Amino acid sequence: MSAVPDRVHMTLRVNGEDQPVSFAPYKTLLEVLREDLGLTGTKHGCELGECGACTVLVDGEPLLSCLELAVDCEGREIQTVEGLASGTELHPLQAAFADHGGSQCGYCTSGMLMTAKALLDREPAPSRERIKEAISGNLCRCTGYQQIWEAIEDAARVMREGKE
Amino acid sequence: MHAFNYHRPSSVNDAAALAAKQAEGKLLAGGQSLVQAMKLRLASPSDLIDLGAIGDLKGIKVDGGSVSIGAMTRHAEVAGSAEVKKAIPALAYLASQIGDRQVRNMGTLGGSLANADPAADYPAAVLGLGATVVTNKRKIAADDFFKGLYETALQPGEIITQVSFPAPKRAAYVKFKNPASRFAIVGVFVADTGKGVRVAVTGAGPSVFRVADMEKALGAKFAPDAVAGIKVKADGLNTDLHASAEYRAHLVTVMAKRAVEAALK
Amino acid sequence: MTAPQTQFDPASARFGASRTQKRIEDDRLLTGKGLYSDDRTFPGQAWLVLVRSPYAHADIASIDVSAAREAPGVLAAWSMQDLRADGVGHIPFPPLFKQADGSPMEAPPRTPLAEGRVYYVGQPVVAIVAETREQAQDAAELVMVDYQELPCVADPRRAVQPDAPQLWPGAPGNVSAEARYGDAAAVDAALARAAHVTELALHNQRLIAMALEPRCSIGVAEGGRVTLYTQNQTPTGARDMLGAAFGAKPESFRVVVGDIGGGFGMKTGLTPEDALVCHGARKLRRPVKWRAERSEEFLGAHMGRDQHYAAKLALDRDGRILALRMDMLANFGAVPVGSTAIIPLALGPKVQTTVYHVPAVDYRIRGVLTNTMATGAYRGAGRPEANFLMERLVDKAAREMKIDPAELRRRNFIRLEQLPYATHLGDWYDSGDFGRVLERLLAAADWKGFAARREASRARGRLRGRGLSVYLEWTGAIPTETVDIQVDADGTVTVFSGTQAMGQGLETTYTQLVTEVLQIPARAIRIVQGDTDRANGVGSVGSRSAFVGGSAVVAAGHKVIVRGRELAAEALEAAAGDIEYRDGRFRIAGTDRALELAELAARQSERFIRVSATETPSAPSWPNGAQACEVEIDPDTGAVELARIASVDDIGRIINRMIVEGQVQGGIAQGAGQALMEQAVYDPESGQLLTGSLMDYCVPRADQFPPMANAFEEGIPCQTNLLGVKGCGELGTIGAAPAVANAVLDALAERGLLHLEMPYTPEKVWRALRGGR
Repeated sequence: MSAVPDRVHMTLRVNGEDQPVSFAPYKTLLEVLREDLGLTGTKHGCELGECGACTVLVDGEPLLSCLELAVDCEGREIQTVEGLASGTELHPLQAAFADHGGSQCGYCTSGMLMTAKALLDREPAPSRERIKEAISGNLCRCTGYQQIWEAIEDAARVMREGKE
Repeated sequence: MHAFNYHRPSSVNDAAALAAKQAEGKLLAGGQSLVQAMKLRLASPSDLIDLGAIGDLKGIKVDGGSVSIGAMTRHAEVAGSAEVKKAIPALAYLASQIGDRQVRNMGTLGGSLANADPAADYPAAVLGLGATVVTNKRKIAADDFFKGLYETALQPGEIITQVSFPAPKRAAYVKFKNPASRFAIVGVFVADTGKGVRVAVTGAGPSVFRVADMEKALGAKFAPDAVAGIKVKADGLNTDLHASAEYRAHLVTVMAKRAVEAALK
Repeated sequence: MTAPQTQFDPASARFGASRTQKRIEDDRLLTGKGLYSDDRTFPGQAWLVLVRSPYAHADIASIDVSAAREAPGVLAAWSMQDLRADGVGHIPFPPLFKQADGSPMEAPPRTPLAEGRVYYVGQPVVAIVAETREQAQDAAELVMVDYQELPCVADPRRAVQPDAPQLWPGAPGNVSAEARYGDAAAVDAALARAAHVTELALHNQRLIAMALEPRCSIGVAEGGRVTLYTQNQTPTGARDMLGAAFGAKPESFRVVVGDIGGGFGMKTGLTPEDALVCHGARKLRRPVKWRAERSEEFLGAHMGRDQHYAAKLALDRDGRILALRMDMLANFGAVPVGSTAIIPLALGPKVQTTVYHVPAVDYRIRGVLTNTMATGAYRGAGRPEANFLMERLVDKAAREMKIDPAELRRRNFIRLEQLPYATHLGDWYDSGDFGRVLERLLAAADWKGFAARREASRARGRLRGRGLSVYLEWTGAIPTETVDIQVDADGTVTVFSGTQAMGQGLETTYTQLVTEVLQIPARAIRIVQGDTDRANGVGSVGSRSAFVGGSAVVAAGHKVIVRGRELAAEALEAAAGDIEYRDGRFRIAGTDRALELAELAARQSERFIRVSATETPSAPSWPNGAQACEVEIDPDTGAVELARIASVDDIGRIINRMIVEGQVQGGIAQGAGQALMEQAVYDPESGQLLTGSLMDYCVPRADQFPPMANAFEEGIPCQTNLLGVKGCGELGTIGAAPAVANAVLDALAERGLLHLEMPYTPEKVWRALRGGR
């Protein structure tokens, strides 16, 4: 058996910027984001792909960064909560979460926002049932989900109006 | 996770060569079961052979009467494919019912089949449609593929490349979900293939299985009431915190009946 | 016994404006800039990993850590013997309770690592510290522990039988503590003359808090003492217990808390892991970090509920309640935490009669040791269990006596003219209009329209049921908080509070209060919590933060004005009585001579003004409400779906509507979760936790709830605190479980079923529909 290399070097594209980074090959995308790139907005929830707190977008689709090996992400577009706002202007989803109380403790919020973004990027006018289904892989223990789907419905409306 | 050597071959042959060399190596598909097991330290492969860069393993082709899906095709692609929806809507629907969105964006057809989780959804479609599992070495009929709990006909180093699903006359999949894991407590795939009826059950037993009595009854009359009175035996079915064998046996009948209803819609 | 004095200040009614204001916390929490303890990394940080017991009950014959100590990167490997050598002791529980013979409560001491014997699966046995988490995990696999397994017991009903395995010599029969309340003879007499007696045995099952944030603690040696960076609802309590465990002064520790990813009562007190990282920091002089794996959260964080009841409710011919007898076995687990005993033995009984007039009561409560993780505070903490029992009893009585369930409740409410109402446990209900709340709910839930909805369900092959609950909470444990406010020369107004935000928006709520009192913009206000060097207090438990902490914030705000007036009088050379305060300015009345708060602060030699206010509401508060739920059942599978949920809650004055709606809705989700899907299950033979992951412990998801209609009765301010607020964090949970349960049982009633234990999982309901077969 050949010796396991201590570190791999590669460039990850995160929130629109190329980030050269060096890390142990067994690290998950979540660990590299948090520990090597300092992007701690994405959270460790269960580390087993069961709670959705670690959700980020890879090539526009929500993935569980706790199960995705970082080495597998070279050349792919990674988006995290830190890249959601444009400068000081909140993304309509962030603004709607603030308006509707979509975040309480905030721990599921990053993953919830990213999952919702992927939905609205693809479906500008999802039904309520569709929204609930879309976020059903993101556990929230604080809100009972109502203020979350109200926020997503509102953000969808704002985003549609913005495009008209 | 324990440390491992990471490989990212660009062809099936390279992957097979690596797998042949590394007795303690593992093939990595979507990673949801394997990486989870590695994080729990239940699996500690010396080498991880990532199949993600092999273009030949991806994609969906509809050809005459069958749908061929590459082993590394994600569940979300199958669920969203207009071609699959048209050729075998039940297959696209089944893929849309796996886990949640994140899971469907990561999990792959080949990974699901090679893992052969007793509660996974895809095995029901493969067995229910009488699909053919194509590997780098051979073609395996669905009826010969699933061997038991997490057991398949795959040999060490054998790599699933694609699965060929014959389009049925009509088919449907109905699943009763485990409310916690969203795996199937019982999932039933019913297909009227034109040459006969196949009924495949996942979640209920140690491995996906067919129900001959139901197939026969539906062959005679493809209607919900044809299966409503057919019970499977609880002996040998799974019992856990969420469902006893007896309850699962009952659900097989209920889900089969509903699958027939759905197939007729 | 005299009724408590009124403290409610109607002038503070402006705080009850019930406005929705966006949350200050969201600026960081929605942008990924929150600071949870796992987000902190310290230079030179080492990682701690635990070896936990795989057995429920076993003697530890030997522990060999020699191979682990030699493993790459390992800095230390400790057993309890090593900790003892360094003077580390156990984390005490409060000595509040007694056994039946009057001797003090007894249980195995909570040492950070097991000492000689393990009492439950998941108990920490060995701690490894290494350079990296992976190295510590690798080394943990090299630890050899020789266990000699002992017989175990996980169910308290079994544990109190004479031949059960015994956990602790000081707790004979496994009964750790016992409490009696009421008048047994009066209840005997009432039962004898009752026209009807409803009997009920039930289990309020064990639950897991499942905060999304796993616990994470870091010990850091700083300036001759140790700082614990962690998540904790009670930072001061944690600091004091560190002192106790290490035999040191509390001040030799500092506890710092940032954002908390959900607490629900579970993140209270001090944990073994906290003590261990602090020991690591002291011993190794390096920052030592531990983060729970999710499986460790399931096994090793204290759980909630787990009480077995046998109860009798005596009623007269008209359905008026005469008496309640309740005998309860509370599963303490093996090694109690700080909140283990108080919940079943003291908090539950306070509200056991809930909103009903019950002339006589008799309670016997035994806290039982079993080979399981300890139970402790979890949303509601004793009050959901008490209310659940009462609402099931009343609903069952209504069905047995063929009286409408709403009507039976009406007949038994404590009436307005009975307020203030003295309870059997010596408390006073100060306010509430339970009848009004119920009538509002019935209208909001379209109770009368149920028959048509049931027919529609039936047409689709579904059974439909409806359920009611009326309920009462008690809040105000240790009803004192001290708040400091400092006004700086740059105009910053900083509020220091020992209460602790964990997702409930306290920064926003407190800021709203300060903007009202001092009439200054929110941007000038900072709220400081979670640092025992800067603020101390009881912390945030039992829905007390607004009730006690908020009142203290307002009292401190008033004090700023009083003190400021004196200082302004000196500065402006006027009489204090002539100084008026408005919009952040002190002004001599009738002149244009004035000083801004900031200017006044700048004139002081310290260049700030600081006041401290200690506020103690005169008595607890009694938030209350009513919920209605409708469910649909698929008779072929037994699957239960929530169809409608409505609530009307009396939480007194409302400070921020959006926040309290979120509290109620989230609470309802947890209560409905208990009713339908959540249960922590230990194998009775092996004591293994069978629900040790999210694959088996079922947490409610977004697609399982209908829209909830949540209304508030705002016309009944609490009389015992300045703000008129009552507390809202736990009501939703308290009301939801019985409302859902009563709805499920209503749907099943046509099959003659009068009771079924939670959770109403599909198989259980399917079996019930088949007549229990």
